[in-house]
Amino acid sequence: MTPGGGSGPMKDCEYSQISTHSSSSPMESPHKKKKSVPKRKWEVFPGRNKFFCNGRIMMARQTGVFYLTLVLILVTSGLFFAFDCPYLSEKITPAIPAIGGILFFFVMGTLLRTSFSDPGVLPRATPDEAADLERQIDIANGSSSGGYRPPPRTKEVIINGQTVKLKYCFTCKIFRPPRASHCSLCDNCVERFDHHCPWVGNCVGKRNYRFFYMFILSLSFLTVFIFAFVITHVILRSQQTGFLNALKDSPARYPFTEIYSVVCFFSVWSIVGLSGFHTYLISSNQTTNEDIKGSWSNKRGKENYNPYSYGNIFTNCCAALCGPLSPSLIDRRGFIQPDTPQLTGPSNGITMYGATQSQSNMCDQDQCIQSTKFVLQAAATPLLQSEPSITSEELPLPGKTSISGPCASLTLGQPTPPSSMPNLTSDSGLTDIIPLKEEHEGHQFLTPEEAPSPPGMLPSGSPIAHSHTMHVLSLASQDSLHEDSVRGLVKLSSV
Amino acid sequence: LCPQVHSLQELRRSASLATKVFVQRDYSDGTTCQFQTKFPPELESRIERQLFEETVKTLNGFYAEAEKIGGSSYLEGCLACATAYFIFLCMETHYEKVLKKISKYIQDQNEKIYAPRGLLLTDPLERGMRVIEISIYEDRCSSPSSA
Repeated sequence: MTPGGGSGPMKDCEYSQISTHSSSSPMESPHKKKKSVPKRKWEVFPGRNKFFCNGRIMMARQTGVFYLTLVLILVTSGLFFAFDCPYLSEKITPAIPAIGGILFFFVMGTLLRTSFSDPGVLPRATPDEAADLERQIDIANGSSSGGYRPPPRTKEVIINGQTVKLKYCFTCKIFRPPRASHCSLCDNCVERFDHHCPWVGNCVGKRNYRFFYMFILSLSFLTVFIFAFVITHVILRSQQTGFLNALKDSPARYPFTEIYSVVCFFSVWSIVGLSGFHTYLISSNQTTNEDIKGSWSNKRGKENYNPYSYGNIFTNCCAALCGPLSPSLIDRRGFIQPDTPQLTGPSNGITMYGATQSQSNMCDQDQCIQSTKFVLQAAATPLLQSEPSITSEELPLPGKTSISGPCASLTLGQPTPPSSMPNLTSDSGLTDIIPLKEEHEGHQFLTPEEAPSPPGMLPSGSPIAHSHTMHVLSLASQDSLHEDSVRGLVKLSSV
Repeated sequence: LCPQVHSLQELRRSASLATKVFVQRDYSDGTTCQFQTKFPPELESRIERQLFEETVKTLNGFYAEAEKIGGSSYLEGCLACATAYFIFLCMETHYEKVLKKISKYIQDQNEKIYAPRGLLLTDPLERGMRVIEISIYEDRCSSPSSA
């Protein structure tokens, strides 16, 4: 690592006046290129998320299906309250709309909590951290065949007697904590990543899993409740006036009754099924991601067990649902400090710069050198070489007829070829290719917009779809890898 | 608090950053937040091993307290669930309270122990709970203005 960039120390001696109230208030710095209103951190957030209400609300980029969920719930419940409740509260008891109302508010509350909150996104490494990690990896692997293979970027940890591999995330430049995974739809690493749910328009991870579970549980009760009482309503009316007359009773009611009965019927099976599946996951303290990959299943070996499980179902449930709620790590509404390093590129840790130095003034030379190093390493390696040791747990999706099969299609959280900076693209786009072959497969699999399908709907169709697309992708992946490497080289030349 | 922050700012002004050391997470206990107590070699000449280890151990203790699953956390969880989690809009969680304690502790340690030795601890919360970042400063001025 060459010390000291040429352009860096220029600003060494100039310090902006640091006010004592700098920690939470906007600061004016003469070095900031934009002298406009200081930005909040959410405005420069590197992931693919949408923010609303000045950073208070955080969602994934595609929110169309979320609005559909909202509409379905609101319309179905609205029709139920408008048309069935008056009759039922007279005939049976007014407790019915009351309970329905409570359930409805609970469903909406948990849905909005799930959709709007931070799922547990891990902020990306600062340039200093990234450089430090790179250095450590180089030291660890430098003596061995550095020319033939890029260093394997995994660390092994023993948790509760079980060996767990921690993988290096090329996008976020960190070693992912155990159970974390990178969501390629949101382009973030998420702690305790469960899955990306298009129905709630967000990832489901450590911080919002309990809201998600309460949402699907309460929604199950709500749909069963509505369905049961709609049937009751029709039965009661038909006792009075005959079945067909009951349906024809009022021209306004007739089509709606049928429509939302049908909606309820399908919802009941899929939602109840999903709730059951997640109840199983919670009681065994697994994530959807781990279950799909079979990380802790006995099929991998007799010695394989889940190191995170507390041993008994009750403790597992309590820990997942009533455990402490960790705060958001990304500080969306904080103001950007001029002296905090911006995540513009890799830097060596030993840089002489003043406290107000912006990292974008970093020495381009260092970035060039690093990028070149990776290009040479990559070029020396056959493109399609895959590392069995790294990818051993990345099993192809088994033809599992699980209820959340289609949802599982979105659990292949994989790093995407970074899109923001040319420098980043050059090194990670290429080193991505070699050990992480089928991660690109996963990436390709996720980008088609038609991927989201209703959870639990047609579960038998999903394993077939999975195996077919995986087969197609294995042919397409070679092309995509070639394309990626070419793209990376082109971008490198532009640095 | 303000005058104390001021002295740390002056440290930054009079000194220049030499390097940063990162204390990584220790995952051997699972996903709970714990940091490695291994003494980084770069700090060998700057601070006594025992002081450093004590700081990290105390921090680990705080994080363990924040993430403890026990009676009070269950109560908080059940209460929150019963109110459809609306209670989080007005109440501070136990975890957040402990994080405030940690922040104060780090500030305290910086003033008393680390700043006089030309070091600065960064709260792990600002680094996504991944690392404890220790900035090592080289004094360039003859008379440093920090305490």
